[in-house]
Amino acid sequence: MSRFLAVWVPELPWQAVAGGGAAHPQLVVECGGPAPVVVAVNPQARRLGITAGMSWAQARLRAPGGEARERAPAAEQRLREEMLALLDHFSDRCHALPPERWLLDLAGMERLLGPAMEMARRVQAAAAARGIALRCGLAPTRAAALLAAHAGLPPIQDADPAAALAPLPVETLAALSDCGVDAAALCGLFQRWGLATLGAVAALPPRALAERLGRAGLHCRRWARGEDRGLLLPAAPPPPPCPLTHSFEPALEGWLPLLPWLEQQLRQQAAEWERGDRACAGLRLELRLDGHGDWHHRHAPPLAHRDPRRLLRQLETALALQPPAAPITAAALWTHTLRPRRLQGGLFGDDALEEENRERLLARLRVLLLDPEGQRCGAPRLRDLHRPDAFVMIPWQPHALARPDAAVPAGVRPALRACRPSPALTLDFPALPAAAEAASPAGALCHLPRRRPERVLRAWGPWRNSGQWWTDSAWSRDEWDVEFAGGGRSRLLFDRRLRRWFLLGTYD
Amino acid sequence: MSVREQLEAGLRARGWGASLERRGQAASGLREWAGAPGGRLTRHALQWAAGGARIAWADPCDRFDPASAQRLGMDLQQLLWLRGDPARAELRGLPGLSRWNETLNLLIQSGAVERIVADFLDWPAEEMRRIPRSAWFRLQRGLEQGGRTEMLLLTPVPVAGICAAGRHAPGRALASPEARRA
Repeated sequence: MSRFLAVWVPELPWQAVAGGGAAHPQLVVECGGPAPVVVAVNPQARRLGITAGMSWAQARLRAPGGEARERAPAAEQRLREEMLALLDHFSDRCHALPPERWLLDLAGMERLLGPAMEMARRVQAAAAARGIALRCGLAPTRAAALLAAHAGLPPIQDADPAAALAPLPVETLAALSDCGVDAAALCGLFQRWGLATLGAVAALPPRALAERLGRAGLHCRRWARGEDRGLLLPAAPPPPPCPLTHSFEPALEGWLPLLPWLEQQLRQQAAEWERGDRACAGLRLELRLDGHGDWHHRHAPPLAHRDPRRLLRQLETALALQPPAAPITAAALWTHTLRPRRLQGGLFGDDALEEENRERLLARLRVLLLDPEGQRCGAPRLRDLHRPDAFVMIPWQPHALARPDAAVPAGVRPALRACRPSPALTLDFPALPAAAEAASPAGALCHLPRRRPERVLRAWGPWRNSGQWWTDSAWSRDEWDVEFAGGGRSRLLFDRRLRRWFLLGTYD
Repeated sequence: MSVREQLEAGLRARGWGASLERRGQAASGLREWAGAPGGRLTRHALQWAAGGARIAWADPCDRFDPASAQRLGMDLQQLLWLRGDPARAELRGLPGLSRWNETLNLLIQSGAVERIVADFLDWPAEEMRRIPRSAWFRLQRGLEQGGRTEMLLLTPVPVAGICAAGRHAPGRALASPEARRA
């Protein structure tokens, strides 16, 4: 008793664009993202190992003579509508499972249209007459029908389809990836577990599976058994990327008056994306200029999102950098959407978004502080060298989970206010020292820069250090902590190679 | 790290820890510590900043010493150090002050850090006095609206006026917030 008929139009983007029986490899390529990606191939290309999801560069390596065509969403939409109109003749209970599957409930239709197998045959004949190649699957449950269509099984007549599905390879579950669970990802996991067939997945203990994979694992197990509880969650088909167009009469002088229209369109689109669970992966703006041709801009964000303000800011920046050379008479906005990535960055928010914001902040700070190399705007890291003041600047990447009060030391520890570069000092010693490097600055009159001369009351040191003696930048120095008669404390440095005194910093 | 510790650390990292410690009161605000170098302002400022999960140290005169900061308990990886370059004319004088004001505004509006220290101790006092009061009001308003950032201003003379919540006149003995609380 087959009740459900599943219809699958394989490689629908290719059938919509090319179709027919070409003798050479044909590919359909999507150019909306950062790099062209293959979305559908014909059987000849598949034989060469090209599959959907490959980059155009990879595919070209495998089939140098392959013919590439750009994806045509409008043609795909037409094909889907044609299929829906065709299937509507066989059952009024027809669910579209985008992008390329349909499911018909044939209960009660046998008396009108004949046996289910006959209906499947008529569907295939009608589609073939329109030049559409498809596969049908007949089964008592929806999941089994979809799996049978994908695997090309004959009609399943048993009430329990588990036995018929058991020998199918586990990759067949990928056919149900559009039903609310990322089954394709779980297929890889099952294979790593050593499960080769749907029968092996169906035999997994449900509790242990739920503990490891959660609800997604249980869904896969049910589908492998041909049970379809919770299967049909048909999502609305993605809206066709029709351009949003507008003519301006009179023509807009400059690009600033265009922004309100752009903002309105992006906000409306964002609301639609929110409703349809879509995100913007690409954006194209075309402006028709009065007598100066067209102005184009294409933007593909690294991560799909649906924030209209960010998109508007990108367009605004592009318009400001290359303003249109003539008044704008018409504008057209194309958007390319996809399903947003389902990832929780962390317990407290999206780390990826936060990192993006941080990078943007640092870039603006570098511009403000005239620091294009990032040497004056970042996090310091002390270097494990003999020089106590040696550090390098690294990009600022704070920990997500920091414990600031973990080890705040108690007690009086003075902080040094460094002088960069260290100014040279003059020390007037009360008596000429026998050896300059051994002389303590205690008692000497110190001429500090931009200050009155002060006498050194006490001095601690020297702390002698040297390094890099094997290079031209060798250094050797004595450091002294001194206290002046006025109460201030500083750190002085005696460069033993230059034989001069410097002020390293003052204690505060 | 236990779940509780992770939760507390996460709240701190997002800047919510300070307001929780204050039992729901806003953690934002502008403080001003004025005094001449040598009054231990730097040490207290480092200790104050070390209590924040993410810190920014605006250093127009390039006087910050990372080794001292680490000795006083600051996690240098959490620190965003903005170093001025006194050798550049654009970062000196009143144009330089204007740039630093814009930098501080940008930091406050981003909400990326929990505590900001603006170290103007070595900046000429005459130029600091010429900063219009509206600039400090703007900073204070940004801090209040963000609600998650505290800012400490180190200046040679008091300049922020009524915009600052806490002030220290030059020459007076300074007690750190922790010491006063104790």
